[in-house]
Amino acid sequence: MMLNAISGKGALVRFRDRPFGKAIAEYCESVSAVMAFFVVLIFVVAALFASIIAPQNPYDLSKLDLLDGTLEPMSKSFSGSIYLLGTDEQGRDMLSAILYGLRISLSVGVVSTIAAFILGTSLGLIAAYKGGFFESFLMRVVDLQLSFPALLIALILLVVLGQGVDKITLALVIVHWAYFARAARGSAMAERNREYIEAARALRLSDLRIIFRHLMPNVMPSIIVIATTMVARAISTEATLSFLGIGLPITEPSLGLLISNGFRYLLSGKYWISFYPGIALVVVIVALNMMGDRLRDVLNPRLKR
Amino acid sequence: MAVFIIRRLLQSVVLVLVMSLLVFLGVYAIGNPADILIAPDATEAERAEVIHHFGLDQPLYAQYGKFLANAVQGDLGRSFKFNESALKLIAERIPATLELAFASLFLTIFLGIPLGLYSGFKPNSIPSKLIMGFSAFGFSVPAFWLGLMMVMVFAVFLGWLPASGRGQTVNLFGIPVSFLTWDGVRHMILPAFNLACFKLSLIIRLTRAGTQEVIRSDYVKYAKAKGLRPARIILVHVLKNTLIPIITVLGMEFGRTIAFATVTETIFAWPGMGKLIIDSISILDRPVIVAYLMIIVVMFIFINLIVDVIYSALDPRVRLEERR
Amino acid sequence: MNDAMTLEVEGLKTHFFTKAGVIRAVDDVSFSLRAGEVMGLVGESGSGKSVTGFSILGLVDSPGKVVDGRIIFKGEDLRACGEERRRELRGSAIAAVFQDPLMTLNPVLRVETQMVEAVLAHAKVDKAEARRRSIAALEKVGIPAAEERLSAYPHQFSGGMRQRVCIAIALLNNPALIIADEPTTALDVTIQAQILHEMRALCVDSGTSLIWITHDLSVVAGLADKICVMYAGKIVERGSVDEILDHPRHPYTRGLIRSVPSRSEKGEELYQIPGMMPSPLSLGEGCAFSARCPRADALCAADPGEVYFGDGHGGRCFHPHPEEEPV
Repeated sequence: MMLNAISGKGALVRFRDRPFGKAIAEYCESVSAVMAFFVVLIFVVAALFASIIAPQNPYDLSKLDLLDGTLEPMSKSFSGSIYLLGTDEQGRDMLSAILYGLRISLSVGVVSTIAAFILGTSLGLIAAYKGGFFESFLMRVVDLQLSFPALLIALILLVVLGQGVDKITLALVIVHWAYFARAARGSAMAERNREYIEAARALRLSDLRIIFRHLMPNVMPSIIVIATTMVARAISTEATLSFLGIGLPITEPSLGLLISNGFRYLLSGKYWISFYPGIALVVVIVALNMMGDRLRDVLNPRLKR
Repeated sequence: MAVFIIRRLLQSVVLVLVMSLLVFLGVYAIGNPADILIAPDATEAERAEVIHHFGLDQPLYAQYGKFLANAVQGDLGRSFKFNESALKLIAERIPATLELAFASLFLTIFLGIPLGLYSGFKPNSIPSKLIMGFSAFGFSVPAFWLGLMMVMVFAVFLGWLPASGRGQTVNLFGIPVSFLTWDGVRHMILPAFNLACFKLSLIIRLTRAGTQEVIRSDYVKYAKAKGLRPARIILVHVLKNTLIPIITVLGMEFGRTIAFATVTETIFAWPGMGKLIIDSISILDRPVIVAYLMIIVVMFIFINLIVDVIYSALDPRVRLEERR
Repeated sequence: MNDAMTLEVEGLKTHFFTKAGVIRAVDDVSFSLRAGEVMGLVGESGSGKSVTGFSILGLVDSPGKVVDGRIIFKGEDLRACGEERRRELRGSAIAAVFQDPLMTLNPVLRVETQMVEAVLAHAKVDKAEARRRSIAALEKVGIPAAEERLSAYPHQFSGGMRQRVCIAIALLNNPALIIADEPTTALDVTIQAQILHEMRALCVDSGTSLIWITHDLSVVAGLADKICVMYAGKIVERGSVDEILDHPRHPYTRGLIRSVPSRSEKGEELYQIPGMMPSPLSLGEGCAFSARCPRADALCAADPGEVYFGDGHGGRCFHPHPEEEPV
């Protein structure tokens, strides 16, 4: 995927023959990968429009009726409508709760990954380009951080920072930037000695320009692969932390918190309060991982240039 | 070899000190610990007394110094909640967590490696595809959800296994262990599997990939040319070469397992360190939190050290390079 | 069928069934070997010489398969006897030496382990006896301080020593046939000469037959009794070493001999056979060498069967060079 700054711009080439188009076409050769993409798409759309499509706003206390509490899926409510996925102990419709929870889980996952991406990739690229003390120092820090389990680091950070969407997003960014930094630096190391970089240097372009307009596009493929799996990981980690009770507060329930909430009812057979949010979570994560795997297969051979 | 060990040991000590500083600052400096301990309607005098009693009016570096001094003597503070030595609280629960961790390690080794070997030898067979499918699942799905599903299926719906708690314990060299009783084992099965899930998937994949690589290697072909029995080829030639990277991975994962036990212990109400820390975090029992973090960081750093040493002991190429 | 023959290969065909097509790696190869005879199997990479060796050993991995032919070892048909019998013969009656001992010896096992297991797999002796035999074999191939060297790891030996260890392993169970696949290619030229010489002596002493597979004609010139030249899966010329070297008849053999550097005058341009070996997937029915052959014509589109020139000398060609023509 050589988005070479010198050639290609303005040339009339069919989309399918451009490198980007070729990558997409190859990706689509796998049926399961395409399905995974659509699943993710559906979930994202559902989350974005949650307030419109959800049958009920689960956080509007006035609409809830305790008499509707812990109803089984497909049971009728007091007012006659059907609760497709049942209700929790406060009478909240599970389907609506899942949609709203999805919104929070996805946004935390995506936002934290984007931030980690920007931070980690930039640092990794700069380190690879500049080399020297900065590079070895950064890589030491990265190696050190990566040798500790992510959960442990997140735990420590959340103990220190406290609860809240912003704090957990920050914690996720701190945990995940290192993966991006290591990958970016690894890819950049292979590219930094190439001729086009030398050419750019000979033209006396500024360092920043070289890094971000010349080096970065060629490093992108492998980073994008990692980003996809990172989103899945971020969602999974946030869910785990919320489940443990140290993630998001009750006021902003993600899927993890819904699951945690329903846990105590699991043992008495009222499984749907945990089960359906769990399914939603797992489906999103698995679909994202499948996309990441397929992207890796598609983009990797090109890296072996 | 000795130089190598000493050097790593020193590095580890420095690392522990750095981490202790970070942990201490993080926990004590941010937020006001005094607030949790004091009832909102306490008088100024009562507040001042509590603050003084816990040494919270001292400057930070003095507090840290005292903390370090105490730590070296084995005193990591007293729990706010239980009013007992934090170290003692944690130490009481370490055996339970370790037992679970070792059980999951046992499962990983004796289930994961054979499955991976089989899958590597016959990669296109149906059982092999099933194995890979399960491992892909166990790898990407959040472990806590798997744990919940296991409880749902095996405990609630099927009623085969207990859903929570540790079984009957028996004292082995003064340490209570539960794997020696049938009741204890029954209680351990689900949580051990849950804890092992991720590792199991990882090891199956690694073993399979390693096996596939090794079978194609020249020395396996040569072993066949020598007319060795297939069993010997698998057990001695293939296994030993495949095992080396696997053992290092297992070693590294063991540290993560102990950290991850928090989730499993929460789901299965297993009375280990993990459950204690989650409870402590929710009530902000800081001494316990700090003590736990310190212990786990130290454990982790030293596990890494031991793994490095074992790796260099196992691979003769590395070992002999060091000697020269 | 002459029982004095150690090995008789008749019409051997080994094909690889790949997604891109069927590769006829060994396509109707026949030869025979007496006890104590040394045969050089010469050809470029891709000619099928190594696969021939593996086929005899029964070590062809999928997607390859021996599809036709007979391999008679001391009266026994190796293709018909079953895998267990083949395993028994491998490493005892039929031994192998491969190209790069750094790759063929298991790096994490001691030499002692790898030698003792070779003995124990085929003889009902105890470990101590196996150890004694291993030391004796190491001494036979000229490794000093054999007993101490036993406990070393492969990477602690030099290249030449390592290959001697492999030769020692091959000799452990007194084989009747040794198949050596490019055993000296990875070694220094001086060591090469030594090992060649020693192997020949060992074979003559013990009456062991040897198939020496190589791409280098000059290597087998001093070693072999007879030579088979392979090209694109077929033997294109066979004969005694003198016949082949002095009176090569097949154009390819001539090309090979002419391209040996020592044959050129100093300052003269080195000879190269023009063109390249055809892709194994695109082999037709005719002579595979015809595309590169200066003597080819329309006849060569058909398969030249083997023509007999006399005195055990034969070749596959419609237009062989006349005997008297100097090389």
